[in-house]
Amino acid sequence: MEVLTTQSFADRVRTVSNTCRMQISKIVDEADVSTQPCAERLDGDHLVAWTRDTRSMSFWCLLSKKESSKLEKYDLNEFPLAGFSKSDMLGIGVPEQLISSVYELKKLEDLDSVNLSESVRHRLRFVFLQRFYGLIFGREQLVRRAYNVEHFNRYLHGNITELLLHLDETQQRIVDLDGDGTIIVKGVAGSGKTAVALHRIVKILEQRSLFTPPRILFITYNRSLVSYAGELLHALGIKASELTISTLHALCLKKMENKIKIISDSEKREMLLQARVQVQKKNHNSSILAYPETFWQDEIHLIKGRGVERLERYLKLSRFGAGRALDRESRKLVWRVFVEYQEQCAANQMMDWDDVVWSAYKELMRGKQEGDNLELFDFVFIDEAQDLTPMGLRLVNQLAQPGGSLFVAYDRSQSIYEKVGFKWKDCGIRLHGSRSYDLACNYRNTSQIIQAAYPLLITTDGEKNIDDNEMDVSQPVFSSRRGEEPILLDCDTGKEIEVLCQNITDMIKSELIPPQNIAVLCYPNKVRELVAQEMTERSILYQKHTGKDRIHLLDPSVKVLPIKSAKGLEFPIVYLLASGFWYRPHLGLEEDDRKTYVDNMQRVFYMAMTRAMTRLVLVYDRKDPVDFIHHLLD
Amino acid sequence: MGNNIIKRIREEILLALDAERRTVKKKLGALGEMLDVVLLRGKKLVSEPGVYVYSFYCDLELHLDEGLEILIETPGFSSSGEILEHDTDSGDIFLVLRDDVGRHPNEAVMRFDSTFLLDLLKKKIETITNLALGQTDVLTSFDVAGENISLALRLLQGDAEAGRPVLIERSGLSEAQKKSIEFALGQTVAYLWGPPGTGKTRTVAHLVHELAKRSEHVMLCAHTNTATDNALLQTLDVADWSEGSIVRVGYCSEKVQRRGVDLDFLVDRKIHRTYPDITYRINLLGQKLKSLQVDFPGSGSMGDIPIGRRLRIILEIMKGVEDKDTTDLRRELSWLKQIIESLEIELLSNARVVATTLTRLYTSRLVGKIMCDTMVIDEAGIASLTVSMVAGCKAKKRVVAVGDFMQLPAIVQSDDSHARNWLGKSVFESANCHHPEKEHALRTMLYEQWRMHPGISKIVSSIFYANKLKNAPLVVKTAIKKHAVLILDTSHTNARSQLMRTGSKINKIHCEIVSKIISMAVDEEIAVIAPYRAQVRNLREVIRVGSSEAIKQGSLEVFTVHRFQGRDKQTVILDLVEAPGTKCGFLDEIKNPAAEKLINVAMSRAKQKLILIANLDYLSFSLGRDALINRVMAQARMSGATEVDAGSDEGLRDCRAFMRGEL
Repeated sequence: MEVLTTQSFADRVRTVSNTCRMQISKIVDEADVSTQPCAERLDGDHLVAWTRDTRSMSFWCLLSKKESSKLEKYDLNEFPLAGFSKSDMLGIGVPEQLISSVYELKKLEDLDSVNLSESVRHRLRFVFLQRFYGLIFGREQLVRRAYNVEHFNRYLHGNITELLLHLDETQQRIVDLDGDGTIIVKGVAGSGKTAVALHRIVKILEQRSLFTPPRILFITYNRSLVSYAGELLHALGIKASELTISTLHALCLKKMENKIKIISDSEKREMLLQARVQVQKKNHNSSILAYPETFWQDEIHLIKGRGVERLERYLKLSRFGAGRALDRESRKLVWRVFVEYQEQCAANQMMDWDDVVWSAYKELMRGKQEGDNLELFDFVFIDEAQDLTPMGLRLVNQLAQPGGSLFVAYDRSQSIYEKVGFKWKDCGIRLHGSRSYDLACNYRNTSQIIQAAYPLLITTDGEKNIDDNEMDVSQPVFSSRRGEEPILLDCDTGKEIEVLCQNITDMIKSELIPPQNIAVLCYPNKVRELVAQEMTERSILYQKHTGKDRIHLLDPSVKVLPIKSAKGLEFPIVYLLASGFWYRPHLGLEEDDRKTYVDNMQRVFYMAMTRAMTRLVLVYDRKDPVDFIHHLLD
Repeated sequence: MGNNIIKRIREEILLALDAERRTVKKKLGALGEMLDVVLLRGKKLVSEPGVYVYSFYCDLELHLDEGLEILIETPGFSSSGEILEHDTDSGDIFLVLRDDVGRHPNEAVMRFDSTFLLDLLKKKIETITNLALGQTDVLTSFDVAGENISLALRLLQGDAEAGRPVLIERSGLSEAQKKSIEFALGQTVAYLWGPPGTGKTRTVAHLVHELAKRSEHVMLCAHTNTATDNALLQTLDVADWSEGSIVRVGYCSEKVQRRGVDLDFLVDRKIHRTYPDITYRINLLGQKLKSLQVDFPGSGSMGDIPIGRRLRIILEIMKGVEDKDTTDLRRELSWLKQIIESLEIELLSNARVVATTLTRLYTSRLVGKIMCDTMVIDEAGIASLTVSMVAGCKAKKRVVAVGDFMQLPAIVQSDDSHARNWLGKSVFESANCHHPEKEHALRTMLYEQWRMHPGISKIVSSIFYANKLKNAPLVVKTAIKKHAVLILDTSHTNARSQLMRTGSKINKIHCEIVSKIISMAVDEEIAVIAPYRAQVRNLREVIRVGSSEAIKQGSLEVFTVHRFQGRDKQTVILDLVEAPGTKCGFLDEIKNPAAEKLINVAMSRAKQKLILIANLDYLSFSLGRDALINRVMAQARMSGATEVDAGSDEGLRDCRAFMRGEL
């Protein structure tokens, strides 16, 4: 293997002890191909940092204890096991009288000095490893985009703010733009749209003076992204109280103040059915009424999402890309069902999310007209804008102060829920004079991972993508980062979870991977429970996320997430369970619905695969791999 | 200093005050300007003519500020006065009234203008900025004394040139305290950072004396009457002060009154010397009032009351006789008023030290007319930017902000960003010297603590004070040689938390546990702290049954964190409440930026023993293992804390041993 060193590094190596030098040569010899920047403590005084790929390896710096004090804060002073409660310790099997000596362990070797039974020591060693490497890499994980010596050096010397999420030139330009006007950032997955938005927020807030800081609203797609953004901003030194981070729905609910009953999925289905029955009773028999459930849900979502208030407008509405064509008479019928459905909802005093957004918009406009004292924002950021309806975008646009600045980041190809065409002017966002940027470089994934995932995107969108659609699918430029091929782990039927957990254990032990770098994306929900159960038995530190509660990215533990909650997040290592069994549509579904279901699932699976930054592991039943990965199996 | 900056500051502060005003009104649900609140179970605590102190029970979630002017009516009586203290935890409200309203008024109606103080503050800001912008008119210039806005802005921005310390000779101070005083003497703007138990008040007292010794006029202001009195009493003890060299403006405690520094008292003495016939003239006034058939306390009962106060009573009475011909009376009164006012101003401008609350700086016209050389703002961490600005304007030479930004912040009701900035932040934050780990050129720290057991201070210091807080040798020596911290893990009980309608939370099992622990205690002073008001009320209910005697004697107190700021107790029981059933938003430092400060204050109240009641499983699950509260737990374990399972008999046995100091 070729070794590259910086001059300062080479100079330093001459000054260190023989043992340290031996350790460095050992690092060179190891066959690890992780392209992540790594750091290791050689002895009490020295720390070495390096990166490598398959062909070459470069050393970045060798630091003495004094210089690495920034890192020390996160490891040397920590007692990796002190974070566990006494009952945790008893659970692992540590005898009560030894617990306090276990707390005081700082080094793995010291574990041998505590008089523990072999099996307990074995478990504890594993827990210790996860914890210790979790602590060391806790902050480093945030520097994962470090790509050269200078970059990493700056991090080690303390300028963490600049480096948390690295920006390339284009991204930096967007961050530095003047405050006024709309900025539209169109980017492929992993191109750092969120990073740009967060940096821009930090920049705006950093210019604060004695005066009141600017009012900032950051709208993102789901709750895990809300907490992700919060956590990153916290690490960047921004307090949660300094801006509003929210999903659009939560914001609307808050604005409305009074209690609203949100319709549940089953209630919605029931009411739609009722509405259709009512229309049918009034002698409007038509084959459309027998269209599948999903058609109706989508169509009503479309009407509300576009803010269509009258039949005439609906008749003229462009339904490009919506799947089925509808003639004039059919549309009239659809409108009747829609009206019927709305009446049903109103009678039961219920609203669906689209209604909530719509009425929040109406309320806001009313307030504006009557000159109410509204809390508007100087800067509005919309991340993952592709997942908002035009009505949602219109609302967010109105939340900006007159003369305020709007920042829209979107990626059409990742859209899970939206299928219908889109026009900016529908949302009241004027493109005139706005600045639009295209982030075409994927920094998140290695080219191997993109190549593995890309075919899924094409087969879904290939037939639906229409050229004159304003929000076109950004063609991902393949990443310049190279890495390993996705790992395919086949196993016997029913053994997927066992194999998966075994693999995680091995990886942590042999490669010293910090557990928080690993995410297991689960579908359906019961799989998540099974994974969690297995991990408990194997002493893997994990955190189970339900999609509702906060996700602690920096917490040293493996993240076990529902697949949809992973949207917008990224992890160095991602495990996906890929047995066909879990992804099959219900038998009861009709042919059309089945197709929609599979198409949707494929999109989701694409999204899940591209969460992986350096390593993707697919675990599947060798007799029944999911269709989405067939192209990888040959 | 550019006029544009001043204009912008004025604009923003006025927006902030308006937003706060709206919120206060909304929260109180007030329709008109004045508001009626029903008070219950009244009790007369102090009864001196002209000064009647009452306590009432008042079920109002909104906190009413000290100094707020009120009118009160009980069956058959009425009086004006002001709020002395309002404790929203217990519902106790203390009022100082000008008239007697009966011994045990069971029910009373309190009328007040909820935004009275905000309006005065607004007026003050307008006056100050007008003055700075050269837009004064006759009316406004009457209330100011050449306010120094440029110094105030330096205080807010923390951008003064750092000066060299001035060395002093002084006994009775520790090295850290002496150095801090020396540092402050050398600056025009200084931030004196005093973590818990570091002798902040003592340092302030010596600093004030040192300044006075250098013939400076000093103003000493604190957030509350109690804090002002405490600082003043320590200052009085530092040296022998001649009469009139220290003056206290506003209502003060009896202890302070006894030291003869009360402005009313001083005016009284002086007036008798200058105008020997004054008593006669006042009595004459009283008789004239009587002849108008107005009920007026006889000369006998008025004998001890300072003239100033007596005059205020008469003025109050005059309001009720506006329909009658009182021209003579009024002429006489205005003459008296002028005399007293000129005497007051004379006394204040001759005094070396003037002590008052920060509120008085903008409510009292008298205080508005004087300036000082050095302004010492005590507890500046809890004073808002706006109020600190008013204070900063009062100084000609120097401002010293004393406080701890890691303790409780100023209370702001509104969510508006202007309000949060100007009413919710302190000068430490605006001057950007509120990072424990970062040094600031104008900040000095009292780094030695005298309160906490080393086992407790180690946790506090490493988590909240970047390891900068050290133990004084005395603390190490006198520490009881046992464990100081006990973690009671309730993960294995069925403890659940419930959300109340008000947004507050309770946890019944934790209540029972607290009550059990208290029953194990052997006479010592205990503070029970919970972060939620509902839980505090619940705890009081449960505890009252078992230990009502201790509560009455004040050796056992149950409150939220806010009530304990600035105080300490032998033993502190901190109930974290959070358990399955609700989300823990309160302890989440990312969602609740104040979490750090509240936990710090709660823990650092303890002198010898600290008991943490927490559902550890739930905390690490819902907040992450590296969240603030879990780092506290880890640090506690490393500092030798004992951890017991609250669900087991063994755990309770250990707990008993701990309470008896046998563990």
